[in-house]
Amino acid sequence: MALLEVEDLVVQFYTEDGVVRAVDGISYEIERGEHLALVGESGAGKTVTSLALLGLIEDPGEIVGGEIRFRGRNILECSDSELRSLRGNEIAMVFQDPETALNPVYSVGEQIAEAIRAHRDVTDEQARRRTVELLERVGVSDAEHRYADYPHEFSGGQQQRIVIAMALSCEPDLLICDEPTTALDVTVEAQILELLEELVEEFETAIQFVSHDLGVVAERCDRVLVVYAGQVVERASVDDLYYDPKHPYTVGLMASIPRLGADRDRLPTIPGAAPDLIDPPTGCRFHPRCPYAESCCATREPSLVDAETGTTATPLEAAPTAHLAACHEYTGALEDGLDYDVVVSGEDEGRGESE
Amino acid sequence: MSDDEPLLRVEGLEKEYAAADGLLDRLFGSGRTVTAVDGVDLEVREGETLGLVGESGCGKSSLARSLLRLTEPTAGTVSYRGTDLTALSRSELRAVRTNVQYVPQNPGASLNPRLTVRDIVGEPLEVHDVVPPSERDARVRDLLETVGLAPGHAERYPHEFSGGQQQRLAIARALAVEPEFVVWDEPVSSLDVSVQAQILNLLADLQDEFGLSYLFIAHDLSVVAHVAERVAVMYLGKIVDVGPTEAVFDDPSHPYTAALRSAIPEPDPRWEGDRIVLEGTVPAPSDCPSGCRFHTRCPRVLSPAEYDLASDTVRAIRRLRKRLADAGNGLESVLAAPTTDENVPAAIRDEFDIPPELEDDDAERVLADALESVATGEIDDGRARLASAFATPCETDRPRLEPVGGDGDRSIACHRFDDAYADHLPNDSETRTSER
Repeated sequence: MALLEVEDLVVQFYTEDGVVRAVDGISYEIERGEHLALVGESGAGKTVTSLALLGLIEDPGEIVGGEIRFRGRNILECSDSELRSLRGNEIAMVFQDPETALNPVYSVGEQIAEAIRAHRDVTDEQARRRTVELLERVGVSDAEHRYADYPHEFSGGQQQRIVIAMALSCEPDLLICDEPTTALDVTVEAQILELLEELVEEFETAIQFVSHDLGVVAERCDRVLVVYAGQVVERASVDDLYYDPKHPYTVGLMASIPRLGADRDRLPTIPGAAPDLIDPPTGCRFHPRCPYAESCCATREPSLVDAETGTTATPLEAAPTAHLAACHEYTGALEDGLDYDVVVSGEDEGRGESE
Repeated sequence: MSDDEPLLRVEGLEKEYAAADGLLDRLFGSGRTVTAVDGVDLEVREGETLGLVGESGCGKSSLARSLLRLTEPTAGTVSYRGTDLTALSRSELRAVRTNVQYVPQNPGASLNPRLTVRDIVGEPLEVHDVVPPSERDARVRDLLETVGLAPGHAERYPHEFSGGQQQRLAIARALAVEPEFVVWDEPVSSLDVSVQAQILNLLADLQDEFGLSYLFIAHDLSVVAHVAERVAVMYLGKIVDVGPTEAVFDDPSHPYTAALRSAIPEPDPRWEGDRIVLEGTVPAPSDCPSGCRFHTRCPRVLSPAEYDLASDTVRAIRRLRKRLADAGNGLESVLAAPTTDENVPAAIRDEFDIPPELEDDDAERVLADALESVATGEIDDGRARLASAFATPCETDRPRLEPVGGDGDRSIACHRFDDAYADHLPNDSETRTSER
């Protein structure tokens, strides 16, 4: 049994304009110690999926279907107190913006110690000592003195280190990182990612990594889910995804990254914008933007299939390493098929070679 | 070097802000200042895109804003087509603004939420009287089409648009006065890659169509490398590296440029390169390091001339010196874990990753003496010995932005590229020959 199994998750938000189905039948699993990435444009449902795991979907949102099984137990059936003992203890989260994740009126040490006291049977002094250790571990120098400092007295990178210390304070089995370095400079990003990697290795933590940065994902994750308009359109190991993407959306996403050393005048783009989820396109949701769309794409919704065999595959039943994609190409329904070249790295020597 | 005069020439530009720490400072003024831009020289040539990169807080936006006099620069000159912008009166400056436009960082915050798109894009037309009132609406619709929005969007409000569309609105507003030169401050930093690609292509199209020149500010090096013909790298208020894009991102370069370049996550799972991870963050401008401003984080500081040491060793000793300089007079401030007296020198070496024995005998003697002093409690003595013996020119001498290579198009501010410091290159420097 996988550490986490999400099956057919559906999350809706009720707005003045209508019902927004932000997550529409997403299924995936995360093994112990695995790093899984959720990739997609803003509004694709990555963050909503992550919040659902922690039971943090609030009004006007609602989980209307599916199951989230953590170690076999359905989180959606947990009581509030059961959820509280799970949150921060077995599943923890690192948010995108550390400044808003930290409470400005409590010292950083106190905020971490509070999490430890909530989940562990410790004295105040033990919680304090553990906090100082954690702060030192994440690279806050002079931790003993900085325990009493407030979040605004730290730089953005330091704040993110503190959030990571807090998330790891109870040695969770699953850490959800929602764009953990998007707000940071590349130099600080490199420091934080390296720290995260060291720590999760030490604690054998599994990571659900939410990001739109395909560079970060390539380096830090084992498998990737590509999410579009609330649905999974492709699932593959990192290597397969970058060297042999199967879904036209994934191909478009990869091609639009500017790469050092690649001498291109124009960047290939995906035309149009992400669809309105109140009234999503019929058939394949990507068809209005897809350069290979044919008439069947507008009428029939493609289901996830094994891209090699073309047989319908549900993510939880298929082998974890199977390459799944939701495109009519793999069931033979497209007449003209897909036609694209994949170039992984730029011309620049010494910065990686393509095949 | 192009034959003709550049479109924009910035010389010795400085911007100081008053530092105010508390209420009293704010009431009476502390007299202290923070220098955000410190003597920047820069050129933008006609029709080119100059990229400006650096970490947050290095003064990129201050530079952009003060060169357009959106904040008043403290010193220096900015000549635009031969006119010194810093000497213009307000009304003269207003006339120049039809040629020079600035697009601020966050489009969501720079678009007035209570104005319709027609008013937002039409306002510059009115202020600068670009087209007669009767033609303004038609002009707004044209502009919206130019940036890829529907003319029918003119009656909408900014919040009805996505982030990418808001950026297009900001672009349309800047283009309304038909400028020649546009300063883009992080135009794509808040956008998804797919939208980012659309906006970058749009900027390139506009540049071709209208013959525009750009100053393009971004912290994302791969974006800058894509759009810019030349790149300037900024660190703590100074330009440390400038030249044609390919040359800047290729070796040899300023150690800071090399670190920035290597920090970009590579979108290739099979990439196996060495990553230079810089220590710490940009120091606060109020606490600016002496000598080369980058020396506190630089992975490649010069070694003291009298010794022959590897750069790792130089850095390790420097960390120890810094700790001693900051430390009180107790041993615990130098060593985290307590140890018995005779082990102190070894423990210190271990803590700071200093080899058990230095490769240079003279250096080893000085270090061993200093550690002995520290171990016996004479921390002051050890501090003084180390401070005088292991000084590097990077801490004391300020590097100047000097041309490197033959054609004078590339300039780097680093002592490594200065022949006067040849003796100081660490003994493992692979660039001994190639850098000069």
